[in-house]
Amino acid sequence: MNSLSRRAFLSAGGAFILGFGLKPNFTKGNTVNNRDNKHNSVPLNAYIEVYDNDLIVLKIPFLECGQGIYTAAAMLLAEELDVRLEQVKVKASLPDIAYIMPQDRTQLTLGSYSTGKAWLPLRDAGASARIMFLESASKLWNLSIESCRTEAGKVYGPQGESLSYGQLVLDAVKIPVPEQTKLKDVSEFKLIGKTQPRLDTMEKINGQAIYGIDIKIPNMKIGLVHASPVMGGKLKNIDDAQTKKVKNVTDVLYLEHSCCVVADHYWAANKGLQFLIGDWDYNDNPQSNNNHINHQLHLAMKQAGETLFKNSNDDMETVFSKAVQRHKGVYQQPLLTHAAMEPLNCTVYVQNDQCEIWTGTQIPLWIRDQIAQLLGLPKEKIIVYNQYVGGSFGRRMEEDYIIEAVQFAKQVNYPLKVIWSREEDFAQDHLRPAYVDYLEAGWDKAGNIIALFHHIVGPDHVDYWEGEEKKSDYSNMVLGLKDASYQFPFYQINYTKCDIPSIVPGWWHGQEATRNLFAFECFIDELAEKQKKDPIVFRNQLLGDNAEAKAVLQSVSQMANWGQKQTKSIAQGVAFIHVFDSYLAVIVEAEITTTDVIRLHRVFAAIDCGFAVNPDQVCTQIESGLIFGLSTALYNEAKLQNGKIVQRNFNQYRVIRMNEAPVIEVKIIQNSSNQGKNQPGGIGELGTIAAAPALANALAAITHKRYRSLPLVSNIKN
Amino acid sequence: MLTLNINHKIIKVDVPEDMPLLWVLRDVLGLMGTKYGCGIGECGACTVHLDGEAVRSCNLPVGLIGERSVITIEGIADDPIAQKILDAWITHQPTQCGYCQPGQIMTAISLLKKNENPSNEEIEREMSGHICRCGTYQRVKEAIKDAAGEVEE
Repeated sequence: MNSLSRRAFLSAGGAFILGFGLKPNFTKGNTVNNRDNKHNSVPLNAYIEVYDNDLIVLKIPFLECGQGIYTAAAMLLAEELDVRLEQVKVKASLPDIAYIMPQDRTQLTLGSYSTGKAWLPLRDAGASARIMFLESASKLWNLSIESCRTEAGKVYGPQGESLSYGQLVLDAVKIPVPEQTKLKDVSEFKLIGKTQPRLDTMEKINGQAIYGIDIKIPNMKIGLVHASPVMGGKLKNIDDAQTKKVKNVTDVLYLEHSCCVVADHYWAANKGLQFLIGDWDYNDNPQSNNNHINHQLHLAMKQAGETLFKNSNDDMETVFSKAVQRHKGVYQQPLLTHAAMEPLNCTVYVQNDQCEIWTGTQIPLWIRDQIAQLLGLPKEKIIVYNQYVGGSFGRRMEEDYIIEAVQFAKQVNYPLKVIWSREEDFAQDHLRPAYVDYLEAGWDKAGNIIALFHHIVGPDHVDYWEGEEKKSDYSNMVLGLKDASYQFPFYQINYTKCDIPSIVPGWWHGQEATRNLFAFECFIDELAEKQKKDPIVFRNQLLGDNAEAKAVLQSVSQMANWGQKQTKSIAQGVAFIHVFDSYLAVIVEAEITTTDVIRLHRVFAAIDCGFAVNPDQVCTQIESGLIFGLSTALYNEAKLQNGKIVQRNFNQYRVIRMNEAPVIEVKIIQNSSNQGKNQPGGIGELGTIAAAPALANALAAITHKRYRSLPLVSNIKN
Repeated sequence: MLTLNINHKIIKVDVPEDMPLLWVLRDVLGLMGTKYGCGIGECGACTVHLDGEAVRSCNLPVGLIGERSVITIEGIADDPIAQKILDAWITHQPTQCGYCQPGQIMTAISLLKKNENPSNEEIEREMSGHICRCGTYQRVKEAIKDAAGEVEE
């Protein structure tokens, strides 16, 4: 690591703070300590603050949305700093370039990568600080640094003398940041790799945890939004006289495409909204239905598309012409909403010279810059306090709800908490787009797959998200495919961009890998069936000499007792994925009852994420992803009628509940070749990605029909 | 002016009678542990106890409560069964985003008060009114069974 900078200062509260930050533009040991400049003398360039009461505050740029990053990050720091995990309090950093992870361009919580990105920087910061505490104590005692040691937040001398880090912090800040740090070997870990309870459990179960929707600011009012149900619709013929008469309603605010009824409490705002009279002018805005969209996607599939990936110089038709047999499949996947538990919300206080924002966001720095531009204020005058969120699944990657809240809040002189009702949260969602995937494979006499072609058809939400300035390079479109572990002598992936009018395409759980690998892993299963091979034996052949991948597949097959005699109505299906630098194999055991009900019996999962930092939390993340993915695969499709999202609440958008949840068993394979050497792979989204193909393959094993479209419940009932 | 008994305290509130209890708790009394998830009694995030029974506060008009005792997640600290549940939650670590968990915990407490040794089916029947998008059902079920074992002893 060569990017450590340091800040030392006396905080306003009287606690002494030693701050470390990792800034790409700083070289290690480059100290910035400008006490005259107010901005530099507050902890804006720091991950760690050590207080004289031995509290360690770790500020990280990541959003805690359930994935357990606060705990994993605290473990990484505590391990090398040699403090007790309970001493560490993790907080969301403010939006500042100082807090970005070295490999990022901005503060970003995305793609199951947070633990991996923090793996070296946080350990390095901890190790550097530990040496500074050691050195400061040894100087005080006039001893050699070698004769002192650290343990649980204290430095000990040879005679048993000890000083806590809190006692040492004022001296430690005067020690130069070490040029080199030696990180612990895996065998020396006391915390990392050993299950630790989450640090946020107690506050989340006793009702004390503050989510964005729980923010309370003095003089704050509650605003309830209602926006055009069709994208781009404009308000017309408004009459808010009755609304304003509702007790406790204080204001009605308008934007071009939405309005916000403001009141002392949610209920009055809700009542006020019901009395609001007005229409939407949809002009010529597109008002699609699901059928239109699917029709457009299938038409676009006839185009050749742009080649995004090809592993051979050979011509596709020439290669395919050598095949003794060919097989093809067309897969269709629906629009999806996020339906996180916490409805969207954002609290904003716009004053003349600054704007404060309380919300949960995966992109705080981007938000700061956007809002600065919107309000014409300097960036440092936009303060984003990132909050816990009740689930994101990609929704908090978007900026729309924050921008809208600021546009309402700048019309008033009090803090405004803008809430989307559950119904608005559904209606204004940025949908996971619908897609069509075409796959074709050819094999030789021996059954070796000699060519595989995958044609992806649908929108690219990254293109939309990046805005006008930067167009996506479509690298996201091949997520999970390009990194698939199977060996094909000829493998080509094409993409035809087909926008869906009348929806806002958005980020979604597992990103493009969720869609890609449903089609891909179902198709691999079809190829095994065509060749009359066992699906796991067939996959093993495709894995060549990839021992790590094979170990994962073998492990899950043992867990599930794969190959046992199946009944007429119960069967197992498998999926194997390699994405976000992790391997996951899943076997779903499902039943189709005589009344065509799909029952989930058991799910087995084997995961190799390189190195499991907090093993039990790896298991919980896989369990969680699997339930999310199984819910989606079974039931979910956002229905679009004349451009409007039809479902508006959980009574219309079925998700798995406890009575339908399968028994899940997760096994972690600690990868022997990679253990602790490289950054850990992702875990948060993998279960979701593997769930749908494993379930669809299980159903196919029962009925001997192939399920090429989601949701599955529509297939079984048809 | 309505008089309510919330977490063993008598409180007077000036709110319309049709206002759901959820919003009285959150926006008038500042008790934020009871969550808004759906507003139609589908998800269970807003669950509180009404005379010991788990009820949804999002569609319970506050004018119908009368003298009945309301207990929210903030009011369970002295309850020994609640303590067993919280301990089991720490052991089994179901909590992820955590948003639905206070509601699930309120139902779990009322379940164990009615039935100190519920079967799997009884736990499922009682808890299936809750939605958890993090899919923590398996660990919630294990935590309840574990807490029930403790209660029995």
